[in-house]
Amino acid sequence: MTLLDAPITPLDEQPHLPPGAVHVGARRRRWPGVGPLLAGLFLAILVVAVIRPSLLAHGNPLTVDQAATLLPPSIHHLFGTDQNGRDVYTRVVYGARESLSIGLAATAVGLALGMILGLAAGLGSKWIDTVVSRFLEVMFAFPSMLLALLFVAMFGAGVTSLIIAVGIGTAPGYARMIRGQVIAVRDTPYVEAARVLGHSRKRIVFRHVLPNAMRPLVVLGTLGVGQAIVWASALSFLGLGAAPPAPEWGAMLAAGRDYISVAWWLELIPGAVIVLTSLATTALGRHIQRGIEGRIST
Amino acid sequence: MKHKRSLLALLAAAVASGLVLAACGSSAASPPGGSTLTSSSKPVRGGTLVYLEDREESCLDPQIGGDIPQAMIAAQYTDNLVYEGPDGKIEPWLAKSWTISPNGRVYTFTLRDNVRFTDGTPLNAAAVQANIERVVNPKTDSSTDGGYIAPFYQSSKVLSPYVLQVTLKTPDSSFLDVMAQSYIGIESPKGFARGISANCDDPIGSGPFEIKSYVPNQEIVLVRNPHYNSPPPGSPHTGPAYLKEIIWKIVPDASVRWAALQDGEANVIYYPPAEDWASAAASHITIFTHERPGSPNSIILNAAASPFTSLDVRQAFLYASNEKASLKSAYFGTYPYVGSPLVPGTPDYDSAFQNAYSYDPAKAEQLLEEAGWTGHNSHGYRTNKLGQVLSVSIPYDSDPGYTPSEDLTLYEDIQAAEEKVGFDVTLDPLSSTAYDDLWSNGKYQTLAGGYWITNTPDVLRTLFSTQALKYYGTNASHSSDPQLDTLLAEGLAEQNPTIRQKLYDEAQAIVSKEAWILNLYPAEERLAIASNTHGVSADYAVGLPDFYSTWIS
Repeated sequence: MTLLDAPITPLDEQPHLPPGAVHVGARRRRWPGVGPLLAGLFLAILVVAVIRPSLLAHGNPLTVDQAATLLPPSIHHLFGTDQNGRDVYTRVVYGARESLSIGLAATAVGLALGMILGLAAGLGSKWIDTVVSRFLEVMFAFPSMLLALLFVAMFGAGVTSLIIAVGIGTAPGYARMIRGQVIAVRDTPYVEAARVLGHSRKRIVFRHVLPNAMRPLVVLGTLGVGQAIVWASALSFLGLGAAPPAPEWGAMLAAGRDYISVAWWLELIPGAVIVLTSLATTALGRHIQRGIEGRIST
Repeated sequence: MKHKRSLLALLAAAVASGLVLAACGSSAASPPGGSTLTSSSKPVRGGTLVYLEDREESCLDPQIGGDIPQAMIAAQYTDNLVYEGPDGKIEPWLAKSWTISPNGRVYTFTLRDNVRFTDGTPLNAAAVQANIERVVNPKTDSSTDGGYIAPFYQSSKVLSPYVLQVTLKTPDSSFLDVMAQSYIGIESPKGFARGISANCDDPIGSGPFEIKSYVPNQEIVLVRNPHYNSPPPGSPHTGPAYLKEIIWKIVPDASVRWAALQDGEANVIYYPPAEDWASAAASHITIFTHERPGSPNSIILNAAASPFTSLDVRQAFLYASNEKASLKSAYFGTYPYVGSPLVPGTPDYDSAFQNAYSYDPAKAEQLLEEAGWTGHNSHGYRTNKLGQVLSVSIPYDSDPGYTPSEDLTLYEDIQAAEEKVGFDVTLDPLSSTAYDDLWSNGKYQTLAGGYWITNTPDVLRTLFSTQALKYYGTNASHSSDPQLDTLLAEGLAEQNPTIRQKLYDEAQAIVSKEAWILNLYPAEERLAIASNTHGVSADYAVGLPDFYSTWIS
């Protein structure tokens, strides 16, 4: 099991974390450590690559040059060139938009689906809770990647399919966490108090339950983006994602795999970027998580 | 169950032995028809050969559908009625002699009388008749064999247990060539009487090996036919095969096949990655190639779909593609460029069209202007007066067994070249099922990866005739030209080689001018062979792997 595969402990399963109590406690600034700083720096660069890639790379990621194929990294081509003579550095920079967009969108889809299911289970009747919970258990019986593969197999390859597929694959995990969180918040004293004060159910849900139950999703979402990027890259690697010549990182990995014996940089560099991005989002997510815990514990 | 695009129709006598390659030492192709085994290399009997193929057989029986992998496996377990020799001449095999009536319509074959199928039944005139009548029966869905023979087949008659007379409706100068292809390797009628499905999994022939087991999309195990006595002419040896067993595995990824060969997990692999050829010698691996005749690997343009309904646009696409340089780059110079409708080596090939569409972006732009694509949108792509963008989709099968990485590199280069003159080209990876559906429903602008392997110029009728468009489903460019139809019909019926060449020259001129396909490179038999594996060969006509005289040291 890799670091990225390591289970993330849902906030609602942590005994020292009273759900819904995150808005109490004093703020305390602490040195975040080298890891989160580096992660933040790396992600900041990626954000620049997403918003304005031309600031980091001046070339065109799609320009082919048959006279410059498979050149190793050099001063002229920082990350070398690929089998079409395209500059790998430029493609990695421009690929950030594609890969991160897929990661963010897939996480959003997963969270949205998870919220719908989780809220329905947590706030609905016992009957709904039972149905949704059993449904989630069935979904959990399938490996998440298999769910994603099934979706792509049914609806075809492509970026949109990829986003939805990864979103569906991650949704059951989010749904279960959200359900637990909602149930925990639902039974807290301040919600009980609101109920006693005669507040409407709608007001209780939107003013008290949702804001407090959803707050941990910031952490989950951050952690999830990294995971989604890895999954999306995996599906693209299998030829089920972005179509060539899009500079999507997973697709770059896939296109380069047959050249690994003559051009190691085609695999190593996109692979390293995917790993670093996932590590960075995970490190940042963990940092935020610790921050929340810290605030709560003081 | 057919893969129309890989269309093949391999011809030529399957198993035969031509171009034998001894992989010992520095290994080089042998003289045609002869063994290259040196005096110090004494063949060893026994042993298991592991062969890695790039894609699965939809059915092990080549008469059903008719795709390259089917013919490859059929070449191991069937013999053919006739054999195509190194000079392209048709020679005896199961038929020890034959006569052709003066009008070219009646063929009388006299068969060998000592050959049996591996199920013990005799291979006689009735068996051959059953095979022919099977492939011409529409219910068999024998698109390759049936496509060749059915239009001309009239009847057949068993004159005696080992004499068969076949009568054609009209003369067919390609009939014997077709009968030399492994696509119509002769099978046991008792075997196919079990039904198509049962025979697909366990077909029975009279070849040097027989099917022992088959796990679809994983592996086929073949064992030696201990009674084999019918090798084709020029075989390095007679009697049963040297190998005891062949394990035939399906490994779509070329780099995985290559790694397996390097690691000693395989003896022979199909289609080694071009980028690794340079390191083959250092690994004591021999690369063996043999050009296959027919039509080259190509991108087919659909003349029935916009924008390729316009001849100017089709020609512009070909002038703009720069495929010659792209091919050299993508395949590391391992493939020759073929710009003509027929691959060199195909009978009646005309070299005049080899460079008909040399890279000329200016000419492409001029043609597009003339065709009305005069505007440009904000991305630089051409538009017409209606504001439509000159968009072209190139679908391809994303299975690396169908579209190896080199092909994808080639397509991406072509895409970039087309964009320079204003085509907005997208590459669309599809699953094999989706690709086949697209081929069938005709709703495409182009199709990447089309080629057809056969040893006759009649491939032009298969690919471009109105007849093929209406009845066979093999005319993917939806071309229809009455003059071409006439030339192809006359060429097929013509017995005089000089006149036939002239007819096919004219036909090739029309196909080239009409720009229905962007020609790329010839289909080739490409094998990589481990240093301990000797005597691997391929038939002269289409280069199907032949393991009859193969042995392992």
